[in-house]
Amino acid sequence: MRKIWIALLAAVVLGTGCVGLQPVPGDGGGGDSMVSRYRIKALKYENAGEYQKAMLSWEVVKGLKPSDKEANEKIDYLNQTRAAQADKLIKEGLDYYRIHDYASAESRFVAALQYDPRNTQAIDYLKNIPQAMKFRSYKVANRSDLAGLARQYYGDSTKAGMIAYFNGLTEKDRVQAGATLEIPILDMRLKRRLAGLPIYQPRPVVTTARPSQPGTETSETQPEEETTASIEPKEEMPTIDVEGELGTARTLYQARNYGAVVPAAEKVLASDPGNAEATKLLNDSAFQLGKTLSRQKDYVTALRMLNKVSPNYPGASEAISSVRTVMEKQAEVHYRRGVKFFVNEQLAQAISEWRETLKYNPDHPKAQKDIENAQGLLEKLKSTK
Amino acid sequence: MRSSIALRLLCIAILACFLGSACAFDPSDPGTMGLGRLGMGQTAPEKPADEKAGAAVQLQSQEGFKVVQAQAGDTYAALATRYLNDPGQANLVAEFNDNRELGPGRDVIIPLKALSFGGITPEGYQVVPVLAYTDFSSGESDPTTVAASDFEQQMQFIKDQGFTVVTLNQLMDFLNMKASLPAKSVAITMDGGRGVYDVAFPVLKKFGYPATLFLRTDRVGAKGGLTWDQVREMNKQGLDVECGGMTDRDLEKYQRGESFDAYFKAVENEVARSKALIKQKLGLDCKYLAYPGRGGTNALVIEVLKREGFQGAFTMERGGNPFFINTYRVGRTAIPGTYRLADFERNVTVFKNEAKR
Repeated sequence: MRKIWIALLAAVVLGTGCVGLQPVPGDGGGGDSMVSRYRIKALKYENAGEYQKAMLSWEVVKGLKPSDKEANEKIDYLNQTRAAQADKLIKEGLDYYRIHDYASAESRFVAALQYDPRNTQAIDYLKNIPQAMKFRSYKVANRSDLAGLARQYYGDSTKAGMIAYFNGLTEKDRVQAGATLEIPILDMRLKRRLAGLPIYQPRPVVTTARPSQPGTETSETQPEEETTASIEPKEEMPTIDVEGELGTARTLYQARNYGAVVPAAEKVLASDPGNAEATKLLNDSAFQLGKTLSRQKDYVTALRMLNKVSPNYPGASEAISSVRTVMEKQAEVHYRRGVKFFVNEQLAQAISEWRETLKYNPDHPKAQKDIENAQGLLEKLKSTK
Repeated sequence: MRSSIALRLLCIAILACFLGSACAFDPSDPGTMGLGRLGMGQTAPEKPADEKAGAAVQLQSQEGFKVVQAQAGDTYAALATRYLNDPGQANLVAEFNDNRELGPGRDVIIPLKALSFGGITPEGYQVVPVLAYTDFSSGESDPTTVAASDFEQQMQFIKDQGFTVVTLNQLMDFLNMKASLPAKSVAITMDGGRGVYDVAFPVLKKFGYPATLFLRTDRVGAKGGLTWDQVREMNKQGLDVECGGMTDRDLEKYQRGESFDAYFKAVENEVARSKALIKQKLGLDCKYLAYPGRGGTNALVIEVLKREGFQGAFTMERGGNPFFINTYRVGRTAIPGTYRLADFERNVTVFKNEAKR
């Protein structure tokens, strides 16, 4: 009888035990092996400059193991690196844009997107800013008809229909004194396009006065317009439509697109350094942007923005000082990480961290020297292999 | 004594049985199975709405990725289709999983974002070609007329090469960064000759491809053109109808001797009146315009389009469109009747190489 009971018990225990130990279908690697795989993958992508993939690989590591310190640090690091690279390229792009080298500017903005595909400033420049029609708000001084206004503004009464269209009026309407109209700016690029002239070719220069003709305007009464009369070819110089740029900056500011206001306002100030409205737009926008970037922990760009703000702007010096303090701390964090890598003979990572150190504190007392030492060691290692 | 021992043993057996069954996983419950192995049993697994019986099961979903478990018969293409709605992403999913062989129970990471936002990578970026056909013929081809046999061959090529034919709304969502598109995407547009009804539309229906007709209104009812009834009929059967202007004048610049006033009125006429006529005849609100003439535009024309409620417009600039192109300057690639298949193939490029600096 005892044997029967023992056999029964054994059967029950073994039976249930077998269920409990039944092999789990799947890759058999479990969470740890997956964490390890994606950690290696992340490093591989990072070395190849594939930051989007590296970032996602680290996110997988973090998702599988939320306490993973390296994943958390790497995600922060990659975010900062990508933002810094994108920022550098955008700055280059803007420099090209200012000198009207649009092809080079575009390639820099595209490269910025390769680091940070959602970078709104790069997207905005590529998509909208170079091609947008600009308007100028115009306060009517004396009661007038639109033909008179068009003559006054463009030196061409046949543009009354266009003013009417963009202001929801008819050509025959009269406008009361004090009314504000949106006047389209026909800039040089648009005028050349309308006239069927190449946009980026050497610009003709006027040497003799010409009467107004259909399709062209004289420049005497229209400061924002240029004639297309061709006399003497000359290399095209950068030209600025101050009112147009200011209008753009104003609109962007109202839309709180501070990142785009800054270059637009700077562009105006480059042509008209005393322009009070541009100065105010630049100060307000750069300050707001600096504070936002600082909150987002993009201290390098934040400092660059805050440095654009006039020194006497309320709160500017305090904000700069605060960002500098944090940057010095960040520099030390990266410096110590570099030392840790160096001690572990991970020279490339150590150099990378010390470069980060210099980004936060270009005057760091040790980082530059340590980079040179590590690079020397790396060279030696390579030569001995 | 013996019966007391037996009773104890029976109790132990019952307890063991209970514990055993509690510890054992239930193969029909994928969530507990996978989550337990991954050490993440805190949250209940989500089951995707589109999941069918026998399809991969989802173990975890985070902002940027999902962990799913492959089932018998799953392939990377099937997983990419199921979770990313894009079989073209199969290679990316495979790469992200080290190209490991799929089998029942294999955990697979499905990257949901960031791998290729806007189709941009360190090597370059995705571009979406928009094909532009002028007219079609059941007989011979000429530069503006594509022969029926060539058109059918081209559509077959698109199918065989795994392209996804997208609508202009889908394209605009991509350009406005609201959605991604399959890596090999293409859009098909036509410009309103009689052959659209007689030749192209039956072929498009056969393949099940969406397409857009850019209607030039002064051609409707004219010799060699479509009739309003034909357009209405095709629209009812799924053909998208958009605005192709009134006449064939170029909007980019003045015509010889034209005043600014006359030019501006012509722009208004081409844009606003053609839109109004399509609304009147077909009850359709055009969202897009194909610039007439040589397909050129300028900032003034674009501003008029915006005021008239257009959401995008198409030039005749050849080449595919990246996500960062201005939506009022989307390029179309003309497909002339003289193209052989190799020429066609060269013009449906879906990636622009531009290595990261």
